[in-house]
Amino acid sequence: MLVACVAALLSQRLIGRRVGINETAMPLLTSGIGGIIVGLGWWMGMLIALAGRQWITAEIGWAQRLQGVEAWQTALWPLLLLAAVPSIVGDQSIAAVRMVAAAVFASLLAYVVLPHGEAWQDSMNLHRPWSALIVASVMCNTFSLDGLIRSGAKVWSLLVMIAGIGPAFLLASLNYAAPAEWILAGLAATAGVLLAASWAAFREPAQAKGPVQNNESDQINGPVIAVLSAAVTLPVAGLIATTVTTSRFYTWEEYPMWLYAVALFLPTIVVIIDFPLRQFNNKIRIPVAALCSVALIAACVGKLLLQEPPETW
Amino acid sequence: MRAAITTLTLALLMVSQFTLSGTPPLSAAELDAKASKINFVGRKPDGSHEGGFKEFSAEAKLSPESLADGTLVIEIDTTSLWSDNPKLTNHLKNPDFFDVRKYPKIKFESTKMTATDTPNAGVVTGNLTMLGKTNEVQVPIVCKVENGICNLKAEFKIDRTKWGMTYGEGKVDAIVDINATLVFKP
Repeated sequence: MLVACVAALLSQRLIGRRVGINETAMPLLTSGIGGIIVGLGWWMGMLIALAGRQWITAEIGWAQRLQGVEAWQTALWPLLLLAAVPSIVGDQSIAAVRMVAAAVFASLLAYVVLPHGEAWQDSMNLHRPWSALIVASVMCNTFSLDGLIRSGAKVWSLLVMIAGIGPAFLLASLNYAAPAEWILAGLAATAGVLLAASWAAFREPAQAKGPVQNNESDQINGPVIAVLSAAVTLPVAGLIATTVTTSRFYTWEEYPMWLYAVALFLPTIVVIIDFPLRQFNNKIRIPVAALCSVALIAACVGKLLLQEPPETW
Repeated sequence: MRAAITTLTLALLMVSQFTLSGTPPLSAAELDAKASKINFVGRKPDGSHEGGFKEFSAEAKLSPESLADGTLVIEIDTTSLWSDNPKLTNHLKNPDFFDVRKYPKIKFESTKMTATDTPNAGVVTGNLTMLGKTNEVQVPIVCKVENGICNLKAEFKIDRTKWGMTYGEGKVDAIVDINATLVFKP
C-alpha cells in the first residue's frame, strides 16, 4: 500500500503535468459535493442490485449479508470508499489526494476481494501478484481516465469506462454468473451517468457549433460533465478489478495472461493510444478510441466465445 | 409385501457377505467404484445437460436380522464433477451451483430402509447434506444380485433449491434427476 501511495504521488507529480493537470478550472465546492453525490448514487445502484439478487434470496443473517458471503460481495464497501473520493480532477492538490486515496482504497479492495480461507490454500501463491495487479489496475485506469476527462473527452470518457467493463463482464459471465449479474448493475449505473452527462452536454448552447479544439471543448462541456464523468472513474476502476480478479479465482480454465491484461487495463490502453491524438479534435479521437475498444473487446470475444464455444444454463 | 421384504433382505444380505452368524451384527460391503456411477440430469426450457461425479465412496452396513437396521453412507467428492460440456462443468463448480471449493463433499446417510411390494425394490430414507445444508430425501432403490455382485440402482428427483442452490430460478429447473448405480462386491 505504501508503495502504491508513493507511486501515486510520483506519477501525479512527474506525469500529471505533462498530460495537462491544470487544464480545467472548476468551482471546488460545487464540484466536490456534486461529484460525491453522483458517486454515491452510482454506488447505491450497486447496493440495490446486490440486495435484490443476493440478500433477499440468501438465508443468512443481516451481519453476514452486510459483510458479504463471497469475497466479491465484500467489495461493495471499498467501492463505497472509492465512490466517495472527491472527483475534482482539475485541481492538482485534490488530484494528488485522489490518487493517494485510490492507492489506499485499491489496497483495501485487493485485501477483501481475494478469496481467503482453507478452501483457497492452493491459490495462496496467486494472492501477492494479484494484489499488485488490482492496485495497478485501479490506479492506472483512474489516472488514465482522469487524464482523458481533463483533455476534453468528458462525455465519451464514460463510453471508455463502459467499454472497460465489457471484457470483465464477459470473463465473469462464463465462469461465475452471480458477480456477472452484479457488474451489469455497474454497467447500467455508468450508462445512467453517461445519459446525465450527455443531457448536460446537450443543454450547452455552444454544443451545436462546429468542431473545437481541446481547450475550447473544456469550456463548452463545462465542469458539470467533467464532475459527472470523474465521479464514477474510481468505482468503475474498482469494479473492473474486482470482477476480473473474481473471474480468475473462480475459474478452472487456463486463460492466457493477455486476456486478463486486456480485461484489467482496457481503459488505460485506450487512453495511451489516444494520448498522441490529443492535439486533434474529438471527431478524430472518438472513432480511434471506439475502434481500439472494439478491437480489444473483439479479441476477448474471439478467445472466449469463438475459439471455445461456451455453454451455460 | 412379505416376499419383497424377503427378497430385498436377501439381496442386501449378499452385499453384507452373508455373515449371518458372525459378530459384529452389522457387516460392510465393498463398493466397486469403477462399475458404479452417480449422474444427474438438469433441465431447462430449451434442453437438458447430463453430469455426474467421478469420485465417490459408499459404505453399506447391513443387519441380517432386520433390514431397518442397515445403513448406507455415500460420500461424493464434488471436485470430481463432470458434465457434457467443459464450460458448463466450470460453471457448475462455482458458488452458483456446487461451490466445490467451500463444499468439497456431498454426503448421504440413510436413516431408514424399507421394502416395497415390487420385487427387489425398496426405499431408503436418509439425510442428504449438500452446500452445508441437510435435508431428508426418500430414494427408491432396486437391488439385484447376480453372481454375488449386488447392483443397487436408484432413480429419483431432488429440488436443488432446498439446499440453497437457487441460481437461475425460472431459467433452470429446480428439479434435478439423479441416476445412481452402486455396485457392491462380496
